[in-house]
Amino acid sequence: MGGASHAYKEMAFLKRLKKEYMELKKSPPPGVVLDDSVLENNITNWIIHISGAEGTLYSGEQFKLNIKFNDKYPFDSPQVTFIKPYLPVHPHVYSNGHICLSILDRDWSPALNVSSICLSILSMLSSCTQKVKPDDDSMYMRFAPSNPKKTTWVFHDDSV
Amino acid sequence: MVRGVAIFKMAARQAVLFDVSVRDSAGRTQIIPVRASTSVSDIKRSFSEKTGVPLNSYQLVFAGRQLSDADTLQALGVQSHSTLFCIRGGVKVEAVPDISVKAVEDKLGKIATDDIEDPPSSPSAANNRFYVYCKSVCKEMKPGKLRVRCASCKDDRFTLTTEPQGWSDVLEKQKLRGRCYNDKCGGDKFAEFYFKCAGHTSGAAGVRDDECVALHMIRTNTVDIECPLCADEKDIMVVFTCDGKDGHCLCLDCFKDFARLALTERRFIENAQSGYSIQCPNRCPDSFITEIHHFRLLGDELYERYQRFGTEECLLQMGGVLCPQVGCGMGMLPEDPGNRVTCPTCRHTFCRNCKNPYHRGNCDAAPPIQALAGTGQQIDGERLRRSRWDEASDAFIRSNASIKPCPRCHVNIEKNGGCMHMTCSKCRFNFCWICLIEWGRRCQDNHWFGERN
Repeated sequence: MGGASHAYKEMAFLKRLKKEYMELKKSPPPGVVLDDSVLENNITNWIIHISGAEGTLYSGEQFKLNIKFNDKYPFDSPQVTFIKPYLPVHPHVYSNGHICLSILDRDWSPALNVSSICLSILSMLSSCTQKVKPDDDSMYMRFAPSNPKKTTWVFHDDSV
Repeated sequence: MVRGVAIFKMAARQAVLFDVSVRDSAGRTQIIPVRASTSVSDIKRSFSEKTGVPLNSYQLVFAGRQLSDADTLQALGVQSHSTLFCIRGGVKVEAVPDISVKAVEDKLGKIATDDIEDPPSSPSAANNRFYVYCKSVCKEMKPGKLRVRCASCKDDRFTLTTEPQGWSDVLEKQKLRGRCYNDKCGGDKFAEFYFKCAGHTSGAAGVRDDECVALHMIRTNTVDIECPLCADEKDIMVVFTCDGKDGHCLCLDCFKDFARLALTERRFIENAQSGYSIQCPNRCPDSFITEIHHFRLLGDELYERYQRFGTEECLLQMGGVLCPQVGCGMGMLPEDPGNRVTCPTCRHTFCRNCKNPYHRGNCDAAPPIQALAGTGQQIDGERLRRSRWDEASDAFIRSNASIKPCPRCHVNIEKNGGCMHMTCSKCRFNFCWICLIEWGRRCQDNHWFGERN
């Protein structure tokens, strides 16, 4: 019984990922491109290219996101980081690629998806007024865990 | 060939005999054997033959509708062990509209959408049932039956004058009106809707008081909506009320996972309008689940936990305390504002502030639990056993560097990884694991990930 129910959940998890994959391939939000060369081997590890929106500080720049899912997805948030060296200089993006964004942590909801994550990150970039690293970047870089989900983020400012 | 078989099956179903009851104004009941194809005039004829009541001196009422002679039981949705009620009057009251409870039940079972037209009724339309939680007999979610009675005298001899358009008409009190046929009450009165379980027959099991709670969020997926969580099209959906109307939905399986996770992580929120509850997955501000019987779907163990957490949360918000004694946990609202609290159940006396056994003076100076053994005092075995257990558990907590009390509510918290920024799972206080003070910039800059810097 337990085994069958686990198998069912795993199927539901893969089904949802495949569905998101198809939708992101078919109609990606502007500035978002899924790199599916990596995906063939492992559907739980995605690479996404995002381009800074025109008319913003990041216009013309290209960034790379890594999204890792565990089998509790979508009930648990995926692990989302920028891949070095394709990361923006931004007050909420640490030099190791970790992103301080509330929807990736305490404000996660299973109703969100890859598309909404990408849009939130693009909007976080677009609303930035000054290209600076986070205040605590050097300290965080020395001691941060490899998985950003192990950090309890303090969301100082939602406007940047 | 196949069609022939289908027709044969349908004919066979219509031929099955079952019992319905007809109750007169004096409360006398006649049981009449019928088939689905039996008409109202056939039933009236049988009833008159048995009782001698003249055929043209009464009408029959079922679920808020006055029945026409030509209506068949199948068309009316009358099932085995249903009860029809007699009202006096030779002719049908023309002013009373024909309201089909079956059509209303279908409406309640569907997901209301602004943009999608109702699909044309298909053979499966008969399965657009709404659901109830059957507490008395089936002890699970079952298709429901909608019934109506007079809100004043509770008499079922009552007909509706307005057809309910949706759940709010049915669930809100004093909304729709109708006509009551009880001699002592009578006339234009408010309607009161109630629900029964279609999974068992009330008469057969000898069960009388078996009204059910409607699970109004559970609907049949008539509009081919995909569950946003598992990306599957499922037959039964859970629809939240967002912005006052049918809003975001999940399939039943994902709803159970969603609610189970929120409950075990203590993310339910206690609020005045809906009690201890959760919002829709999109967190629409007014989407809290108001009918807590939906949490029954999580199973007995989790429902019991839901009730316990809800009670605790409500009590703590009212300024109450929980007994810290192992195996007790009794909730209480001490009237005495002092720190000395005695549990009325286990008589344990503790400090309201630090939850340690009661002590005088500052909580930091509280003496550790004294060992009772070897003092030469006469004490009962159970107390000795418990105190040893407490001592061991206390020693474990004190010696274990990964367990510390929350600086605000003093609940013991185990840290199993992550950074130094902690959030108390009970009172949601954000604090620093090292300084045991509210989390701030200074702690983040100095020792976010440990004392190494």
